[in-house]
Amino acid sequence: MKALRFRPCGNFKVRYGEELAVFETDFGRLWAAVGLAALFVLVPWVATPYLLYVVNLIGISAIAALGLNILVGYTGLISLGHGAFFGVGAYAAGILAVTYGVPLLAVIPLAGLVTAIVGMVFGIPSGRLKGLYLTIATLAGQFIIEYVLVHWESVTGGTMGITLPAPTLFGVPVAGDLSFFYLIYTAVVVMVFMAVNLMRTRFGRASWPSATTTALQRGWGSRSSRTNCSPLP
Amino acid sequence: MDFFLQLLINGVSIGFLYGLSAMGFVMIFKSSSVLNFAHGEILAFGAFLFLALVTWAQLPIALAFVVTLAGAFVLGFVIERIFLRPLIGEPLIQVIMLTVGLAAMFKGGMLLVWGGNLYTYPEFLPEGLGVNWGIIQVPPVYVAAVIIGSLFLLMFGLFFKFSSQGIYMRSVADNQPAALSLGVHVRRVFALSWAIAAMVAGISGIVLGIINGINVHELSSIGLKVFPVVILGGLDSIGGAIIGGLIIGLLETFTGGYLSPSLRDIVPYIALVFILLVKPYGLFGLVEIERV
Repeated sequence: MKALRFRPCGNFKVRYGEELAVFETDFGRLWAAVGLAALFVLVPWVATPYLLYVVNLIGISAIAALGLNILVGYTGLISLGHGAFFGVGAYAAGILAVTYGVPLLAVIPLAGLVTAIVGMVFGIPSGRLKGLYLTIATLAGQFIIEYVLVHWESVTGGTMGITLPAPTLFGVPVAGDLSFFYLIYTAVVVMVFMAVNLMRTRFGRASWPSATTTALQRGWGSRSSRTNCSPLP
Repeated sequence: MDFFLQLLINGVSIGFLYGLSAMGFVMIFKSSSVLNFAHGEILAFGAFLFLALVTWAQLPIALAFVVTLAGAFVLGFVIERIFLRPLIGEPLIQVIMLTVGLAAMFKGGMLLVWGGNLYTYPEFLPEGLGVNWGIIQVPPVYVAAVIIGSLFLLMFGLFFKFSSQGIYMRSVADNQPAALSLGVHVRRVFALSWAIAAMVAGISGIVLGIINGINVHELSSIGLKVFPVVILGGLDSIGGAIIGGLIIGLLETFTGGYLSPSLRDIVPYIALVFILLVKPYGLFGLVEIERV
């Protein structure tokens, strides 16, 4: 098990804990470390400015998709309104940062909280529905949220939107693609770590087979929206 | 009062078209339990095919109409054959994601060919078709919408009631294993229901194109408006689709007329959330009792 083998030949697990191990062998752990090192050291070094911008977009999409992955993949609840929650997170972060001048580190969890609350508003009626009907309800949510974001001009600025100043993190201004690269990919790593481990908790394992209970749905709603917001500052 | 009547007439004719497009949607859902998110794109495809035939190929209107219907029929058939058939028996999410993907693909293809511009058909409806009784004035387009809507409704009613294919389709919708064991060709029924649904979508696409002009985004958004309609009417009721369409159409035009034009596009979805809260199986839908 500890040796750098590609994969043990056969099932030699003797404890239940081993079933849940993230890395089955040290081989996987080694390559994950190598990949991370390459991502953080090599990529910003090699990439052209445009490529770096694309890489950043990849990271942002990955975080959003992670939320959707937990929701759809593990609980079987199909959401077509994910983009709207992405938007709610962005607006919450923008309003907190611009109107109230909240620092970046506090904006991220607060925006997540706001999105979670909005998610729950749609989660409560969805609690009675399943399958197809839930999918359609999320579709309606998408349209309604989009309408509110565009038409609630006093808060969201309507179609003009909100322009954010460059945020600062630990006294260092986050501006330019390179600093965003580190911010985004740190978030990606943290979120992937959390998501993978969430699936190993009691809550996560319970959701795997049963898939559709109200409580879970709300839990996932908030969870996915949290992952949503983090790349947005 | 004039304004009210005008809105009423607009609402009823738009509602008829919503009902007509929802009917195709319900037909697919009933026979093969597939939620078709590409319905609006098929509808837009019908409208654009008609546009191409009328302006580019210069076909006479009647011939262009028939060719468009045939084209939409073939499109529905091909979609079922190529994309949907391999997914029979797969989980819901695969099928839904497939139709969402189809929708994106068709929309992209149409944007590639026609762009996001607004087109109009050349005037071809006779002026005499319009109704002009004092205060009640109905433009020819709306009369045509109602006539075409009721005509096809009647035709489908007769088709389901009397033709053998229609009876096969009803039997598959009612009980698939039983129909299969009694020798109904279920796969052909699936293909036929997709083809007919695409054809009906094509018809409503043409008429909506005459009313509002032809634009890829506008027309494909109708496909999502089908959801409030079918949920209100009941997901598996064809008559319910028409009544749901009328209610949603009236709701939309009255909101647009009296409250705010921008609220117009969103009110069907607000209604949808309320219906799902109060009566998720709609007015005429089959109630599945299932604990969530």
